[in-house]
Amino acid sequence: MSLLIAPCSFDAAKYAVMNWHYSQQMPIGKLISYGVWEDEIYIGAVLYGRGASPELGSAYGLSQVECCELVRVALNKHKASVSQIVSQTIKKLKETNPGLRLIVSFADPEHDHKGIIYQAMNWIYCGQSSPSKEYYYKDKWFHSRMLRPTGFGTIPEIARLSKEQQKQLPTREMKGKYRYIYPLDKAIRRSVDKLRLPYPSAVEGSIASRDNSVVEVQVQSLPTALES
Amino acid sequence: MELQMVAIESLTLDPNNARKHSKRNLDAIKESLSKFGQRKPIVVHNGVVIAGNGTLEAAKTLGWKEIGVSVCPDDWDSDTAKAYALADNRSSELAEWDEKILSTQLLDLDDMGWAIESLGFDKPLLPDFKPEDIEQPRLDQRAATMCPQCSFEWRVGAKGEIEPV
Repeated sequence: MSLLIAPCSFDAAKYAVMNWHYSQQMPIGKLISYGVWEDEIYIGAVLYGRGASPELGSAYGLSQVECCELVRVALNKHKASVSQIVSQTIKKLKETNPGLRLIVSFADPEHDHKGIIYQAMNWIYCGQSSPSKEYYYKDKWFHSRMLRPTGFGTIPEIARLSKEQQKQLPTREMKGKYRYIYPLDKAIRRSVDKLRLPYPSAVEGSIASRDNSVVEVQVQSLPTALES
Repeated sequence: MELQMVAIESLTLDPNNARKHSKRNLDAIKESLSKFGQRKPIVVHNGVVIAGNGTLEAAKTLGWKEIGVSVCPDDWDSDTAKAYALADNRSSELAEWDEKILSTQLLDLDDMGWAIESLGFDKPLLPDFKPEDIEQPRLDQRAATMCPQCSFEWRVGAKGEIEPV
């Protein structure tokens, strides 16, 4: 089986996200998209971006241009392991973006994701982000930041609603996401290693094992959707 | 509902059937009957098939002698039978496919060795995207800005300094 990881078009990345990722939403902002081909068949894409917060790297003492987020791993059925695919994209990312020092990614417990792939790749687990609130508007749920009048991710149509109208929208509380980081050089690895926490377990009450990666990949591959 | 097995030769295809069965359609029904057997009865009114004409035709081609039928109540007149025949066809026609689920299921069956075409579907095509030699944006650099007066191009560096591009 031949595996090829190479830059792909926006259309190819969008196809993968819309068809093979649970979110069915393209991330906003600047994106680096790597397509994945097995035996010359397109099976998905891995996307990196600046992430939803301009402060992504500040917790690690890094500027916005030293840190990026693995925002989507959107794969159809695949033979290669997700870890192998993601590893190859990281290698390419480092080659073309030598200034990057750290990758951050999030696993969403609301979708039963614990980040088993990150665990298999020895990413550093740093705990859960704060819980958030989502608002329901026109058949879709929106993160609370999208309702702010200005700022990253604002959706003008909802932001224009009066405070009173916004208060009347149905809401739901969302659990904090599991945050994983992947240092790209030794110096940053040394400085962030102290943040390492035990991995959240793959099965409630059990210890996470690298072997569990296989289980999660299979569960997610109909279609495969490793969230990030 | 009363189900019974009756001799195929005792049944008549509806001469006024508003639904036409193409060869492809009949082939798919034939394949289905061969693979899965008859799982739903055809509906008969006074010896005439009012729902399942395609199934009866396919069964005849396969050389079946008997077929499972559901007989309409005795008090149905021909108008009621006609209305039922149209409603039966129309109600299934009004349903829609969830294309995403359909294509996933077809690909799964295809992977497991099922002949998708024999189920009456075209083989789903995977998108034919190719690797592209395109310039990806840099995430380790801020966006460059060009002065509209002198065309000097610059960006803010890692430490907030002005960095010529």
